[in-house]
Amino acid sequence: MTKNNPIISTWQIFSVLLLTRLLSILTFVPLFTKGLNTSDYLMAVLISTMIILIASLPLYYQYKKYKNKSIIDISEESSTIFSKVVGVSYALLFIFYALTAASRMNLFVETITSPTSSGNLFIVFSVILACYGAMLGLEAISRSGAISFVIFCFAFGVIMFTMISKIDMNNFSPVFYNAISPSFDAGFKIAANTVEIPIMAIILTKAKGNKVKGYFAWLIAFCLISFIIFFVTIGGIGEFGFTQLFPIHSVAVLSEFSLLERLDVLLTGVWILSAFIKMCLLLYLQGDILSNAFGKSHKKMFIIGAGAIIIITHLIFSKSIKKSTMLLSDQIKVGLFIAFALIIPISILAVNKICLRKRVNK
Amino acid sequence: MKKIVKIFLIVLMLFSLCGCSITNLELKNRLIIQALGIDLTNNGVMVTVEALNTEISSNPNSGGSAPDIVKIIKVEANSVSTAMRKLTEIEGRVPLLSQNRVIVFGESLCKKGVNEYIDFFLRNPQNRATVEVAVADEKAEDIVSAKMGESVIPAREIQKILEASELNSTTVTKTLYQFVNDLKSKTTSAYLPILKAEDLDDKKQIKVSGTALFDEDKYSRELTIDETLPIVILTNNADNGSFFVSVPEIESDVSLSIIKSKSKTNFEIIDNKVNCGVNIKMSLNCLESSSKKFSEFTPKIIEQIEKRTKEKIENELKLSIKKCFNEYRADPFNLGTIMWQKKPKIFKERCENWKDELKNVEVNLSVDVIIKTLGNEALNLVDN
Repeated sequence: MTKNNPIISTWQIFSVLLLTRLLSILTFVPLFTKGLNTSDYLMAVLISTMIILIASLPLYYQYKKYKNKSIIDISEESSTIFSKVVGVSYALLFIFYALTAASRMNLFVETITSPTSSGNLFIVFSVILACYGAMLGLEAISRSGAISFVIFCFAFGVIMFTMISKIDMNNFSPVFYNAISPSFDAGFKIAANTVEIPIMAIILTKAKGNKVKGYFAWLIAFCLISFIIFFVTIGGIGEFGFTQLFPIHSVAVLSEFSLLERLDVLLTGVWILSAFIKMCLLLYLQGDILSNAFGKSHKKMFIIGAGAIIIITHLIFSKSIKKSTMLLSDQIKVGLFIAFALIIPISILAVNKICLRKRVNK
Repeated sequence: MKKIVKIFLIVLMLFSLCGCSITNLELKNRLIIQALGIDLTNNGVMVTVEALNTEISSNPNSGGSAPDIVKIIKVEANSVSTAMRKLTEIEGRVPLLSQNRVIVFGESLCKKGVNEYIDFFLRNPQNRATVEVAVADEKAEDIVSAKMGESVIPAREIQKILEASELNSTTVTKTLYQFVNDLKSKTTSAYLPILKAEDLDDKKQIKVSGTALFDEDKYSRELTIDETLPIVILTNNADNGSFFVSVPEIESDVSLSIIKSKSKTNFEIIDNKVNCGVNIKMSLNCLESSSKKFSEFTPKIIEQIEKRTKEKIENELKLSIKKCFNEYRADPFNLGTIMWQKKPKIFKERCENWKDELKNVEVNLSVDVIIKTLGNEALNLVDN
């Protein structure tokens, strides 16, 4: 069983998780939400919050019942081999999400910042640096993540403030005009980008402080900030935003304050910083899980190995838009979300309960 | 060892990730586009580009003469993107669209439909969503290549002329993203300002001559400046505008400026007909009076002016709405969108095809006019 000494504060970890979660909103690509009217996106955010809350119930049960045990620790109580299988599956999940973060960043670089050149070099460097960041450990990641979150809040505040005067209420559609189901569908897809629930199932054992309070602050902040982001996007540029690959960036392009024009650079900076922190955290987590399962001395090797997998897979998938959209597809993420937020944790908790009962009976 | 690796990585990143590492993307090697005109030709499109002449000077105050500051390049190609690529062949520089101020479409192109020509601007990340869009009264080439005097960058002047709609309220202005939103709207008809180039001594003068009304993506009607005012008022963009009213009671024409104008719209179904009630509240300032009989604007006279103004605005709006709804089957006033927002159920039941419903829509207008200020004149020239 792994030792879980609290090394970081709850607020630090939740600010990092908020940053990584909001990255998915900032990099929102409206490719898989066809048929949605503008205001339905706002409803989709509220629905996604509810879905995340419901999907967190196994997580709540886990920390209520097992206090300071991660989901891997709980699976280890049932069987060592079982815990290794669980560990590998979680590690693969984190590698996949680190890959999608890199892939989305590449799409942004190749589409917006440097359309004439390949973003591969940038991604390779970013992944190498993320590996280095992951090796520095959770404390370093959470500290830099918390600082990045402050920078995010500043950039977000400036962009939103400058956009207030540009909001046109005519851009808002009536809610649920084409029925409720498209909003639910979109809400589910937004929620499916929440890798933070599986992360919490592992990482919260390392945090000290009130986790329930931290969780609700995280969820409310996510809902509020996402709602404001979509509200300003719709009010600012309306349907036009959803003709663009990165609508939130398109809105940031419009923001200007006095002599300062094109404040989108603020968003771009925050975006890259958040993606970097997310990659660091995911690489660290998979390294931590695999080293606990297969030998602590190999932690760095696992991180480097995962980095190499991300780079190679990215290079293969970034060759064509058809392949890269496969990585962006929400269908895969919906499946992973259901599996890792609900099915797998519930199964692990159920297996553990059965095993414990058997032991007691013996 | 670790430090050496870190320093190596930093240096490597500094030199490999520099935005201008590709020499042809350096600013001095870019063709900085200021205005872009697109006309329809037999072979595709004629793209006229007004670009800064960076070889001479980018500063209009540095003493260069007009031809030195900007240069006009014309390229014919089968598409806008091909034309932009051809520009590189002609100029040996990569076009930079991010500084573009105006996109002007030729009249014939707009009549054919703008959708296929606007796609380039939606895909190109360099292009600003806030760039001004207009229609040329004939050829876009005439507008973009117009010489407006020494030390003048015509694109900047055109941009100012278009943006002046906020100051005069007699013309309209549309940025690219607003125009695209109108084109995508199921209810609102898109419209753009029409630019006209006129000879003035040895140079050209550009002015907004009216408004181009679109049927879907095709330019269908030209609205005059007078016909544009109702659009401006009903879309709540009329602040700062001015107009005059004849007041027979004082045998005078009174010029008034709009301090604030706000319209409120409500929808009801009366006798199985969509009834649209529009209430406009307008506060005005008196700019000028041609009266020679009265020394003072007494409350009674002010009442007369308010009454005449109310009549004038109501008549003009009614006429314009009727014309647009019944004749043109167009709704540039945003009324359909407001109904969609306020009465979605009724809209869904009977107005899904808003254009077909327009002729059945009953519009009830009421204008509340208040003269708030009379200017700075304390005494009139002629006594009572």
